[in-house]
Order: sequence, then C-alpha cells, then structure tokens
Amino acid sequence: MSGAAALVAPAAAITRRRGGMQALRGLARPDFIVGAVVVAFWAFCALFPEVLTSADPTRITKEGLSVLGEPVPPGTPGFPLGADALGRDFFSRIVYGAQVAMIIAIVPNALALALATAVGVIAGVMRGKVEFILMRTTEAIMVLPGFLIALAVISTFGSSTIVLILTIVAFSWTYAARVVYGETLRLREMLFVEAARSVGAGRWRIAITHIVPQLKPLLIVYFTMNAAFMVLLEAGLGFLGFGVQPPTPSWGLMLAESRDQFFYPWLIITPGICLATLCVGFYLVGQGIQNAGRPREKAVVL
Amino acid sequence: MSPRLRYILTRLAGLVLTLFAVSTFTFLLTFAVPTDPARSIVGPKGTAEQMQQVRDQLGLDDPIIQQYGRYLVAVGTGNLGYSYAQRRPVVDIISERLPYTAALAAGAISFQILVGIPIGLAGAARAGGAIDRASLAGSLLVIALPGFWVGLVLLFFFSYTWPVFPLGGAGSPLSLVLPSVTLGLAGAAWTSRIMRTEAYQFLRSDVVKGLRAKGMSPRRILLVHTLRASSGPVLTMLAIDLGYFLGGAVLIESVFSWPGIGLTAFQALRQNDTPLLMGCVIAGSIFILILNFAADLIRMKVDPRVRI
Repeated sequence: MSGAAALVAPAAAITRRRGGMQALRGLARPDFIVGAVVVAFWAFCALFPEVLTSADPTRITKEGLSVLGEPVPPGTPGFPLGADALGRDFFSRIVYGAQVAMIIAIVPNALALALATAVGVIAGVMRGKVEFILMRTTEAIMVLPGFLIALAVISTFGSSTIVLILTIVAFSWTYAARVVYGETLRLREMLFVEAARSVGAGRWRIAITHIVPQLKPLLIVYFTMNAAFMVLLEAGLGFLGFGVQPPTPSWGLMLAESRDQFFYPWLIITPGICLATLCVGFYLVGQGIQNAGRPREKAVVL
Repeated sequence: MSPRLRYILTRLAGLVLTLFAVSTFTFLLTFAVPTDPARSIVGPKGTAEQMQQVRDQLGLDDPIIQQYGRYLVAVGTGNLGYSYAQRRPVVDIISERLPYTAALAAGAISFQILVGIPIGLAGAARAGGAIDRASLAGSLLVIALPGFWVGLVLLFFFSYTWPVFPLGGAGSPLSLVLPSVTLGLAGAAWTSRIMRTEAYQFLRSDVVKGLRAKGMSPRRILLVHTLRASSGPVLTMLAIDLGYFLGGAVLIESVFSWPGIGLTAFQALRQNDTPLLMGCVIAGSIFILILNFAADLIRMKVDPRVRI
C-alpha cells in the first residue's frame, strides 16, 4: 500500500539556509505550478461549492430524467454534466464530491504522518529493544494485505467516518515511519546533534528541538504525495461500498453507483477524471517541492 | 553459521511471527463481528436446540483463551475452518480459486515486464529526450489513475462499444486480457521508472566507459549489461508485486467478476461469511510474506553487497 510513498526520495532536502522569498522562487517550476493550480481548484470546489452550483447534490429530480426514465445527458439546460440514474444533478455531485476527497487527503494523512513521525523518531533515538520492536512491527504491518483487512475492519465496526479514517490511518503510516526512521538515524550522527549533546542536551531534547524540525521538508513532500494515495484508497473503498455512505457525494461511491451504466458513459468517465486530476495535482506539487530543494542538480526527475 | 544463513533463518522466524500476529488479529476480528456463528450455521429457521448443539460442537461457550489456542493450532495445521455460506472447508474454496488469481497475477506481471522494462530502458538510453520525458510524465499520470476505474473504462471501450473482449467472468482465455492489463498498468509505470533510474546510473558508470573502450556495441551494452546491472531492484519490485497480486486484487477482480481470491473475499464480506473472509486474509498474508522473502533472497543473490 505504499505505492505513492516510494516517489519520495529518502533524503529530500530543502536547505534551510535559503530564506523565505528565495525558497519560494525555487518553486517557480512548471510541475509545481500546474499541480498547485489543480489542487487549488479542487480545494475551492470543496470549500465553496455553492459558488459553482446552486443545485443540491442529493436532491432527486424529475427534470433529470427523460420521459423514458433515462438520465439526461451532459449539456442539458440546468444539467451541465447530465444527471445520474436517480435524476440528481451530476455537476453538483462532482463539485460536492471534492469535499470528501479533500477531507480524506488531509485528515487521515496528517494523523498517519504524526504516528509515523512518532514511531520513526522514537525508534531512531532510543535504539536497542524499542527500536527492534517498533521497526519489526512496522515491517510486519507493511506486508499485510492492507486493503482486504481494511474491508474486514470496516465491515466489522461499521462504515462511520471515524472508523473509515482510523482504518485508513492504520494501514498507511508504515512506509513513512520507515523513511522517518532512516532520516533520524542519519541526522543523529550529524555535527549539530553532537554539539547539542556535548553541551548536555538529553535524548528527548535533541529529538524534539533538533531532529524533528529537520524532518519538516521530508514530511511536507511526503504529505503531498501521500494525499494522492489516500484519495485513491478512499475511492477504492467507496467503490466497494465501504467508504463514505450514500447519499453523501463521493467520487468513489459515484463510480460504484454507475459501474454498470454503460448506456450513460459520462457517469463512469467523469468521476474517474476528477480523481485522476486531483491525484496528479498532488504528485506534481510534491515533485515540485522536492526538486526545488536541489537547484544545482540537472533537471532529472527521480 | 554463516551470516547469510543466519539472516535467512532470522527472516524465516520473523515470517512465522508475523503469521502468528495475523492469526491473532483475524481471531479477534472474528469475535468483534456482530454475527453469531451458530446462527449463521443453522440458518434463520434453526431451533434453539440446534443452535446449542452447534455451540457445543464448536466449543463456542469455552473460555476465549481456549478457543484462541484451538484456532492457532488449526491455522498452524492448515485448517482454516468451514465457510458458512458454502458449507465446505475454506481451504478447499481457496485452493479452487487460487489458479484464477495466479493466472491473473501472471498476466499482470507479464504486462509489467513487457511494457515497463523496454520503456524504462529506452528512456535511460536517451535521458532527457522525447521518449524519456513522455514516459516520465505518462508514468506519473498512470500512477495517479484509480485502477478499478481504468478497468471500467477499458470494459466500456473494448467490451461494450467495440466488443472484442468479454464483459467479465473467466469464460475464455480472452477474458484474462483486460484484467491483466488493468492490474499491471500501475506496476508497469513503476517498473519503467525504476528501470530508468537504475539504467541511467549504470550508463554513467566507469564500467560502461570500459565496455565502450573495449569496442562493445551500444546495443549490446544496453540489452545485455544494463539489463543485468539493473535487474536487482526491478526483480525485487516484481516479486513484491506478485505477492500482493496473489494476496487478492479485490477491486480489479470485482470489476471484471474474475473468480479469484479477491472476489471470493469480497463475496464472503458481503455474505457475512467470516471464516471464509479470514481465511482469505490469512492466505493473502502468506503469499505476500513468502514473495517478500523471495524478493530479499533475489536482492542478496543479485547484489552481494546488500547489507545483512
């Protein structure tokens, strides 16, 4: 389940020496800008859906269905992207669907990253038995069929939003923990840590005031790339009926509702394109930030 | 004991330990499931006596710790229990579905190899060229696509609009094509990226300068030496992927109604068939663990410098 994560180079380094404005100038790269615009667009849809559409995404309408009971195609007046099989305005469902995607991209992602940072830093600072237990557990969870177990857990405890978020967290923190752990091992051997130690700083003081701040660039890159992975995971769960529950519009759920609707291809094509653009956006932002940190290297991706 | 042998034994012990943890997890999950096993077995029309009979038979009234012990022994001896819905051993069902999952996994891995490796190699051969830039951008896009949606779109175009392939199921060898492509697509993108990175580094090494100086043709350098030098990470990745595919591609199998382990697990989930679902989880874990272990062995074999 760590597909997206592998895009992050273990030692992503944004040098702290360069000040605010200069760091921003490094981001003036086409990949970052395109990605940021796409993500900003979907964030706008999630925050202010009523600006873009006045239709209620959950309202079942008669106007959305033809005389024969078929959903109206895209371009019908009042239905820019057509209607779904229940006559609901598809455009408004797409716009409101961005809310679920954005929440999933941020909340479980941040929680997973916090957990990963805690585990990785503690294992790297403590060493010995704690390190062994934490990292072996991480690796064990990493190799489980996570998606299948997530389905089993959700079906057992019900598909409330909290269960959904916690399940996504439980199966997506492991790769980041390994990366943070590796970076902690590297940092703790560095001179500034030795200097802190020589003036009497304890283990935890070093961890919190010297190591964790240095992890920030790595965590930022990881957060953006992992956001895409989260969105796809929720879409997959939603497609099987184990994500957000109807009638809340979610792109994965919309694909589930229209999986057999080959007569009305827009119902299948549109939500997938939305998912793909948002995820590409996140990847491009992450790649942009990552590469902005190493300006001297020739522009070679990965 | 050589360090290598010791490493292998440690890993094997870890593997057994992980399986033990998975069994504990599935056991606890079975307890948390709201369905009553006795009710599931006797059916909705069963009498109270019949239910008590089943409870006694399965020892459902025994202390939890005793049930847990029995469960571990059963899993350890390859007994994954009886399916509620199909009323036969879970192991039989899984071994019946395994060939389908294996065929799909083989198809997907072949697609990854046939598409990913040539693209990655071509990109590295002309780094920064048109093919390279197109494949780097294209692979990023492919990684961002939801796999099950790709499956739906392929079905729409190649089974519905232009019916070349069947709409689903496992009726003919043709049925395998679309699921394999769908499952292998993201992996092919990854393979091409890893292949490109590895080949790019190798092509800039002194080894290649030496081979050129010796008069070896660029084609031979690319097709023989570069491939060999890059095989470690690529094979490792393919082995890990194979494990996950064998563990059950729930989404893809469900889109194409492909009767493998993933679809079985999903149906079990839908029918509250807890033993079958947990059996699939355990079987899936075993496949992934074994293939991950194989990946480590490959890494050691191909690159003796791997730290043990």
